[in-house]
Amino acid sequence: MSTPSVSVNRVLKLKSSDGEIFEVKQTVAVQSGVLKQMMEDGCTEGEIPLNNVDSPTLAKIIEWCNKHHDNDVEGRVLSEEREKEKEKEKAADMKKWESEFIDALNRDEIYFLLTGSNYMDIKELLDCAAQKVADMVKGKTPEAIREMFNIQSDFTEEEEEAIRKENQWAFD
Amino acid sequence: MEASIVKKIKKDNVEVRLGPFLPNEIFSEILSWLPAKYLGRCKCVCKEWCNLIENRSFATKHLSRRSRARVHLENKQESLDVDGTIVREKFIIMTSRVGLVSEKGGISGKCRLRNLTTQEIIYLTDPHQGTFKIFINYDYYSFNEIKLVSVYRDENNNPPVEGFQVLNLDRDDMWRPFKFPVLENHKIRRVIKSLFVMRNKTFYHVQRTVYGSKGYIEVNSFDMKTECCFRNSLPGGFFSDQSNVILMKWNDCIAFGEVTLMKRNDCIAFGGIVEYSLNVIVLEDHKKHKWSEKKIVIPLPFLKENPYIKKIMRRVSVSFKLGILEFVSENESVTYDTRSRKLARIKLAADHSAAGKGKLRHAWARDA
Repeated sequence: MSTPSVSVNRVLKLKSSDGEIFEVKQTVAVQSGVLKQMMEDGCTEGEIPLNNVDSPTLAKIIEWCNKHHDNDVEGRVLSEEREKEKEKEKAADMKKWESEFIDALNRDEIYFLLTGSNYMDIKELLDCAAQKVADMVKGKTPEAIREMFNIQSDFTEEEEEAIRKENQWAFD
Repeated sequence: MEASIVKKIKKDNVEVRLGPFLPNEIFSEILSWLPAKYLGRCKCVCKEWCNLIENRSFATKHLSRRSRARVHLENKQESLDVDGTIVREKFIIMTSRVGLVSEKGGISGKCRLRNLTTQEIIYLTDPHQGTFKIFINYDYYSFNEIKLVSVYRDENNNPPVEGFQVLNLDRDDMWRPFKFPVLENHKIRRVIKSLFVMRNKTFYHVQRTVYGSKGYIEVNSFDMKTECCFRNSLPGGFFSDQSNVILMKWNDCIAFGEVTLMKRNDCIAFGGIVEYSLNVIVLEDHKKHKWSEKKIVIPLPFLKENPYIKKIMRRVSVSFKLGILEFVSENESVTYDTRSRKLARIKLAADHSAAGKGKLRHAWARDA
């Protein structure tokens, strides 16, 4: 997980859009593609402004990254024979933790998490949040989906009828 | 991304976080986790979603999700017993339709249907051995009946013979052979290229032919429901040279188009502005041999600044739906909204090299 330029003890100072400072270990921060790139480029001195992530969201993101980092470190201590077995357990535990983590959030909080993880390029978190929202979309009518995301339909009446007819199979 | 995403407002002296505005790239992430069935409904949400879901890069992403959701199921590789030795066989996707793909084994030549959502696989009775493509016609009005069309080229004949076979998945044990009517003057006219397309319950076989130094377009069509054949020729007089026209998907029909430079006479005061436009003739009703009465002219003002689009146009898939024109090439998709005149380019994922994935929406592009 660690790259040569990353030292275990160093911390990064992340500044949320509302001005709060969060300290994160470099070894944890590498999970963000954007921060990893900055570390490799050696431009992580001082505060790193994250203009699209507010403090409640950034706190959640860091909680996620810390958890996933812990899991990685523990995994490596194990002997090889037991590793496979243990890894399965770990994966199941992590899945459980992830679903509890995401289920505890309301819809808007998940939306913020989506934009935040997308902005910071944290693939696993983005996937997890996107899957959660996808589950919420399942079974909904187009009207309910529009309401969920505050989208206005731009179809004319005829167009809407045509597109619905074409996708009739999805409504059965 | 908008900087205002995490803006806060004061309301009754309590800070309220406004829900963020989600950009399309995030919608594409969300929708990519949905089974195909729900995507059908999502297409009815708004035009942007409809376009997003029909986009090839989305199809690629969606496919990769489905395979990752089932890591233990080797997706396109199967074991095959060849004279007692087990070898891995790769299945290549030929075409797709509403969550179903038709595939062909690289070694055995076995053809099958795969449901992308359930991963259910149906192996088909062998079609003609020269089969290179199987189209899926899924008619949801008649008890979800699935009819397939296999297209083959028999290289044992000189010149090679092309034909097609039909299989009704519920009723037929064997593929039923069909033939398109022979060109009246087939001895003089030379077929230089055949294109095959399934569009709105109709299977089209488009032939570019040459007679003397002139090119012609002949359209054979097969109505999937009644299993009747029809024949249409692209009327003369619309295009200077029919061998240069582009085959397009046009709403539920097929169409032919040509990009030309037009002098705008109304701007003569400025020396006459020259503008690119796409001129289109639509085959509105293949059964009644009805073509659009006039050429439909779509100005393409963006071509002047983006000449590369013109360059790739002949090699890409061109479609027009709900007022949006889309060009899809190997590595990018360009959409142009003819009403708002907005142009959008989407680079396609570089990792769609996994066998067949990239071919999903591209079956058409390679032909056209």
